[in-house]
Amino acid sequence: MPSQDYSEAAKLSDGLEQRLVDSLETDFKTTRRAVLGGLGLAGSAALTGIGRADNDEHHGPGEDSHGNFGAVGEYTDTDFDPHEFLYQFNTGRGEQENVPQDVYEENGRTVREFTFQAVDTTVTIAPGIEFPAWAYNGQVPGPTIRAVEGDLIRVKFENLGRHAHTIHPHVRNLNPEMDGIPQNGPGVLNTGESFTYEWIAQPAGCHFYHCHSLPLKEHIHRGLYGAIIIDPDPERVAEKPEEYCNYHASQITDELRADLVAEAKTRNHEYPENDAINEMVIVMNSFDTNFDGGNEVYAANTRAFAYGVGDTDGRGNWKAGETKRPIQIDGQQRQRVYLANATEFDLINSFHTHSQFFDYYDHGTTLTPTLQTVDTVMQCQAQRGIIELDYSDHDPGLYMFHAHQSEFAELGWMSFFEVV
Amino acid sequence: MNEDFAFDPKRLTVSAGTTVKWVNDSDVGHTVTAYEGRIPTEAVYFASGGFESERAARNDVSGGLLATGDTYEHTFDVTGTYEYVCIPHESSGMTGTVTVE
Repeated sequence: MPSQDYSEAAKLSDGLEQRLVDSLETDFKTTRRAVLGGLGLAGSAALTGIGRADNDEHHGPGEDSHGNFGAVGEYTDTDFDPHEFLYQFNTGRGEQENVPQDVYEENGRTVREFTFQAVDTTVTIAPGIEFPAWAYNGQVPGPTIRAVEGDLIRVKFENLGRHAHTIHPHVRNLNPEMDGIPQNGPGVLNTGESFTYEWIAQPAGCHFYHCHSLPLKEHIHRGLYGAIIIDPDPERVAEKPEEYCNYHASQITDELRADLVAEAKTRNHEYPENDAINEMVIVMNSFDTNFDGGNEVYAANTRAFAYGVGDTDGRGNWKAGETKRPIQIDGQQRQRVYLANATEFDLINSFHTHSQFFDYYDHGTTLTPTLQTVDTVMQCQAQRGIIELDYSDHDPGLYMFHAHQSEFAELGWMSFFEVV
Repeated sequence: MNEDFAFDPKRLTVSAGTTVKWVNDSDVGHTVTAYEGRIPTEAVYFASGGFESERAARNDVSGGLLATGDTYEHTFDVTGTYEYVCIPHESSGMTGTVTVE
């Protein structure tokens, strides 16, 4: 049986979302001006609570709010869709219109080139709740970069925002000038300044990038972070299999080598074996809406409850909202989540699946799991990994997944897979 | 545009048929980009860079940037309220309103 009945799932989504939006309105009224003034932001940041969309005047006679299942309101922001973001891997072939990019050969190496621009923008984190973000290319999380091990990643970065920024990559970078920190290379880039970062795509895995300007916690929690996926090169795996598993070179059998190469092909977007797998990016993030050094909203990919249930008649029949719906997956297909944690202020975040166990590859740098058959993993900030899920023997229906910090789940980081 | 991150005046009222000219007298680049859902429904969309939609303008921020000293003009024919934004400085509060009577 599915872990959640459809109408119960919708009731839960609705109830939690309403409570979250109500709590934010309270924060907005009592603390916004004072706290923002203290940060010197001129009281101008756009945190606005406009409440729920389906308010009481839509109720018919005899209905009360307890009978009103379904969405509190849809999201109206057209700039970012967490359902699209799941599947947006920028490889240089122009996957996203707001990310100018190219792929070409240079000195015998594949170059994947991207243009990143930092801007001060607003992002919708709950219906009617806009967060004053700093963002790469106007989106939070920033664009997902995907390359193959050994490629050159070239990021032409221009800072258009009001504050000084950098891009710091969590890859094995051999040139200190390309580390994207204030103390090296070009240092921080002020408004209007540009720099081209170049990083060799290594090691294979699920990686992370973020702004390294000070105060670091503010630059990260405002939204300047994203994922870098580096696909393993199966030919390199065949030559150096010991680098992709926890065995010494002397322990590598032909069978293990073949398994590692086969697994590498499923991870490499240029191989047909990769097409058989449904791959998603989930960045666990959070938002301090009143700038008191603690988070009020948690999410998988920025929008609280975006992967919740949209609308239901309360009798088990539901329909997706325009912007809120479970992640629908084919139960017969292998599912892979590239998971990263960007949460600021809280020490850890976590990923928990209901009625399901999975294999976890910490940092994604190995082709054998670092944790096998678990239903919960935790990550500190900037930690990331790959989750492999198999729902082939599960009944169709809704299966919840969420942070197992219960507080985070109830404040937005609660989602569903719908197995069909 | 002055003080680097603001439209001055932030709110402007003009009569129909008036051409409004924005001048960038700050040291950094800015855009003048209408919010698509916050202009009169009969009005023509406007944005520096000549974009025909807010989405297009946001996808090509550089294409709408006015450098120091650059100007942008738009003629307001339809009465109503027009809200607009500088894309790279939206959350720094750089928004403005033109009311056409």
